[in-house]
Amino acid sequence: MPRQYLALRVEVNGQTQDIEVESHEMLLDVLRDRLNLTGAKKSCDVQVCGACTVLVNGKAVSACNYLAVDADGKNILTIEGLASGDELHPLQEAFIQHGGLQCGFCTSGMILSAKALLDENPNPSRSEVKAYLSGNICRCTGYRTIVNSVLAAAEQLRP
Amino acid sequence: MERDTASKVTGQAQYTADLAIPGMLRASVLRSPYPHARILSIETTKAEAVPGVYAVLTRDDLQGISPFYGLAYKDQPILAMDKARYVGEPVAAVAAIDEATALEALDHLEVHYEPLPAVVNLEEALSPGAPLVHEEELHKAGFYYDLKDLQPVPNTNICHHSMFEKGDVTRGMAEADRVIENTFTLPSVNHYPLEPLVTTADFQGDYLKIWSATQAPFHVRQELAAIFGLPMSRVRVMVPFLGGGFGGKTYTHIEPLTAALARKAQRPVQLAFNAEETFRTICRCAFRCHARTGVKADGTLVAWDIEFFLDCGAYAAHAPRLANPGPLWLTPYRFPHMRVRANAVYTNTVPNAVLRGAPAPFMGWPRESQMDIIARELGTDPVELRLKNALGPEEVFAPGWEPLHFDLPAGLREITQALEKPAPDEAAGPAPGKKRGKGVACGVETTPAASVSSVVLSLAADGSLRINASVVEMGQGARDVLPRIAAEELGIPLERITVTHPDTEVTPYEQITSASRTTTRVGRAIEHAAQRIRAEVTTSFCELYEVDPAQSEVSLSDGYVHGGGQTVPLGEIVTARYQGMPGGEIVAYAPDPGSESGSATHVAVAGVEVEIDQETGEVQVLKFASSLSVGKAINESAAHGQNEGGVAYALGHALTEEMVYNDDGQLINGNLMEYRVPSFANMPEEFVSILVEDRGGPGPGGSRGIGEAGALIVMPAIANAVHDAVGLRFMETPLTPQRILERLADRTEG
Repeated sequence: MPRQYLALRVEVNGQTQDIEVESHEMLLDVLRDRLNLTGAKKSCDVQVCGACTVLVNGKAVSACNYLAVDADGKNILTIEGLASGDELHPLQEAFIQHGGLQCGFCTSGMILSAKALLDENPNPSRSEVKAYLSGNICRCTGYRTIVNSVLAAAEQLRP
Repeated sequence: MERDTASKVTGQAQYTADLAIPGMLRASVLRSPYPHARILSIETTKAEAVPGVYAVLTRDDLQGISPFYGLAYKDQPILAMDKARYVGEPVAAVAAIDEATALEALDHLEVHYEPLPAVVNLEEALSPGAPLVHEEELHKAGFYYDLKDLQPVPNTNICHHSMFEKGDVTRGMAEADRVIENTFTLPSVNHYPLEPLVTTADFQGDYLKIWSATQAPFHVRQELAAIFGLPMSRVRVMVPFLGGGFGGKTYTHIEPLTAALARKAQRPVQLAFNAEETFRTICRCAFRCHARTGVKADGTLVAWDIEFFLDCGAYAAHAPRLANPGPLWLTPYRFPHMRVRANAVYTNTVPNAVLRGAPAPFMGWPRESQMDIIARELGTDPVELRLKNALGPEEVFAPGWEPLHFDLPAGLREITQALEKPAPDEAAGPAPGKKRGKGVACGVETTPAASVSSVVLSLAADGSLRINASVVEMGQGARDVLPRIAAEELGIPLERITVTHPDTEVTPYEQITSASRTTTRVGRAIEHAAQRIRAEVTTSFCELYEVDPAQSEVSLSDGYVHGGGQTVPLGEIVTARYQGMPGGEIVAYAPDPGSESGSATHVAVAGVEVEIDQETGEVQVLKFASSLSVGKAINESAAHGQNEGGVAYALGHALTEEMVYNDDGQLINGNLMEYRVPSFANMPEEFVSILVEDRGGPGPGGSRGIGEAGALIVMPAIANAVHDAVGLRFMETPLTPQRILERLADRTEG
């Protein structure tokens, strides 16, 4: 039986993309394989670890189990879209300055989850950061430097 | 280095699964549903007929090659041959146009199995007359000097055993006033690096290209060459950034399978696991240890006698190395009499891979737990008991072994002090229903003495430097530390130094990136190579600028050469050799061939304060203090990161992690929904990182390694603190809320 494709129009990192996907395809695979946006990573594949986090209409989702067809007409932000040209986003700067990463595999998802947090709550407490980011797993840092990075970025971002 | 972190925070950094090779196919694996079964037949026709399938691989495709691998024994086949030995063992594989097609093809494979009786844990595997996981003769891999003499016990599942003795334990125990005897166990746990196992292979004629998430590109190269009958020089293994390793990516895993698929498909093939498939491929051994400690009434340790069993899983892999005498000698305490009997045992479960810390966490679990048990028995303080018996820095404790070269008593005192200091916002005492306790533990580990590293340094005509090395970057920060060592020797600014990623076709031999050996071994190789370049540069400079080296000191700093009143950019020394034109390089190669003098002993002292909620059984870590014998922290913030990261990693082993098998050998929690790794919620409230920079290590600046040290001794520190809090002694991990509640309930009822 021949493959059936559905036409989608999505906005990815500010660019309109017209793509064709099969109904079973997940957003993570479409971003990585079709659009070469490999910043979002596949790890647990069951929406637990957060390595695949992207923002869909500003909300953090686990792209590994998010049907691509559900992204039709929506606005997607991946890690590649966070910086403005050469200028890093304060979250990216803060993670570098405060040791918020080691191997880097959780980092794309972690930073985007943090962005979703700070967009909602520009002045979170340490516990609020920990609670909000608890859907993102890091195996390397022990999490403290991640919390420090997010709080430092929050300070930068507040007027 | 900031260059790397910048590429990681922008999503630019490439990991193996991010590399798209033109024409690349995707693969999937059919796995045995039985823990032990003869494979009667595999029917592939329907699978091959699925549109978009390029290759279906079975054992029939492995004729004419040597399809076995392993670092101690070559006992692990690319695909199960006559029988499958664990649930999840690869039985067939498919390469197809995309993953969905490959998965669909798996559904069309028909495999007929004849289930066999299985041994799914140590007890079953060791019982007399137990079914044998391996009936065939075991072939030694013959690749590592410390795995030359392997001693299986015939007609059993014990694939290697050893014993060593110092003094006479029988006499020692007789001399002791008390002999404390206990059995300690550990379950299997999973390394769960966030990046799963992934390999891409491209096999054309006699040339095999591999991109793999491996910590051991040169080991993988030699195994692939042996399997496929290729010259090693025609096997190319490349490793980009690794998304964590923790030992789980050491040695050979899915490279041979991917290569075999690529060979059949005659197209590049990527085999990318998710976490669940990684759970079916590697794990840390389960462990059982019967320990006896003999001690005098005054607390002087007299004898240490242990017999332990490591559960290899279905293939020997790394476990025989953990059952070898060498590193087992190592303890932080003075034992006049010691006996260690070690066994590596096959079971029909997931095969093992070494986990961060290697033998130290295994040996530390019974030893440090016993120390606290003894302290309670004798009515003495656990820290005092350790101080009394701690080895001195220059104390020779075993023939042929270097002393610790580390002030362990000072480390213990510092940790105790750190635990005494209350946290800034710490409540006066625990809330009602909660109990607090403190525990300490000491861990020791050593880098293997004879292991080989080499580097090539290339100084370009503009004075910039390339470090050619096969060190795998998995977040430990080697790509930051190594340039600092070169910069120190050659006076070149850090931003003008670059480090290669491993590529066995281009970068020189590196035994492996593991065992905390990189800073010392590769660091020393860089120092040697840099000294050669320095010598050449100095000689050329003196000739060119008519400086008499006997009269004037020649120095290198900031990218310049200074001497005899002259200052010249480093690059000009290179261009002078290239007819004054901006070309050419000055190159130096240096191996660090591995010697006793290059071996480092790592000491970790851990102190922890916990608070236990007696209603829920939850253990909250209030404070964790970890002191590591780093020698010199070449990158201080990264070193603290390794300390805290190592502790956080092992906290999971202490509190939440356990691979659970049912009686049928099925792994029932092999996924992230059911297997709990530490999250933000499990963070210690306060972490105290102490880096002891005593300059006593063999590496540059007196450094030692640090990658594993934080993870060495967390489990017993936690168990000791829990005992201090609620009087419950756990001989097994993890110390889950459920187990704590059950024990608390038993105690109330009993």
